[in-house]
Amino acid sequence: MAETVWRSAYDFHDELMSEIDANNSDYVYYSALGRISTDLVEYRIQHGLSQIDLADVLGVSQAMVSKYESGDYNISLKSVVQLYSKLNLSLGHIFGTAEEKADDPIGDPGGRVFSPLRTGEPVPVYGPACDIA
Amino acid sequence: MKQFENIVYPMAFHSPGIVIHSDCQAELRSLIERSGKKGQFAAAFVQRLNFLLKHRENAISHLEWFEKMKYVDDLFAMRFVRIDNIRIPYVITANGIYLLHAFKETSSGNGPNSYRHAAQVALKRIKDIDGGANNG
Repeated sequence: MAETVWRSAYDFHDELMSEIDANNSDYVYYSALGRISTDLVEYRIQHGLSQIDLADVLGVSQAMVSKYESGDYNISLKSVVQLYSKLNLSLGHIFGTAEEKADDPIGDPGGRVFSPLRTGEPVPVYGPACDIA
Repeated sequence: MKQFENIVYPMAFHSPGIVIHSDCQAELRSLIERSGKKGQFAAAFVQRLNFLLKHRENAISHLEWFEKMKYVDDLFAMRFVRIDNIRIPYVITANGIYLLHAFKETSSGNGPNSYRHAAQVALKRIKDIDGGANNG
């Protein structure tokens, strides 16, 4: 019987990514929709709002907020700009390709502990920037 | 370096993180290949991982990307409604979040694509956590 191996789910994601182009249009498109979704949800959480409350702020129906948050709704670019403007959110990261690493203090998706032993990558040296004479 | 390829590193390297059962990986691979939506899945998957890692048990109350599994307490599932209705049951522990199984939810009742059957598979794999947590 094969031995059970638990592996980082992010490594599994990285494996999938190695099989497609990072600029794969589906990946970029659905990443953007996912970011919009999580931006709206995080905004609601931060401000203690329900979907109905957010709908009032945005001037849309609760059903529309639900669609935005599904991460599957084909929202227009114009609507995105209007939503982000009303919520005073930055649009800059929506189409970025490395956004997933933004929250990680050590540059690894999801805050994983960096393991050069596991990845075979060179051990990075962190420290204050300095001029080398 | 070949000789080191099979070393399984301790959970400390991933903790607190999200890990995936080897059988779940194989099931997901098969489902993704059949769906023909690898790019869409990869995008949706990493977004769910990030949100789940941040909100853990509360993720289900914020986004419909997550749900409480029917029939079993303390078992949740990631939802990919637009990608062949794929579900990934998982459990949250103090040591990490464990993705246990992947299936295409197509039926109620007891069939192989039902929640009831998936819950049984997931529960069996929960038993692998102790061993897995100790050696990888």
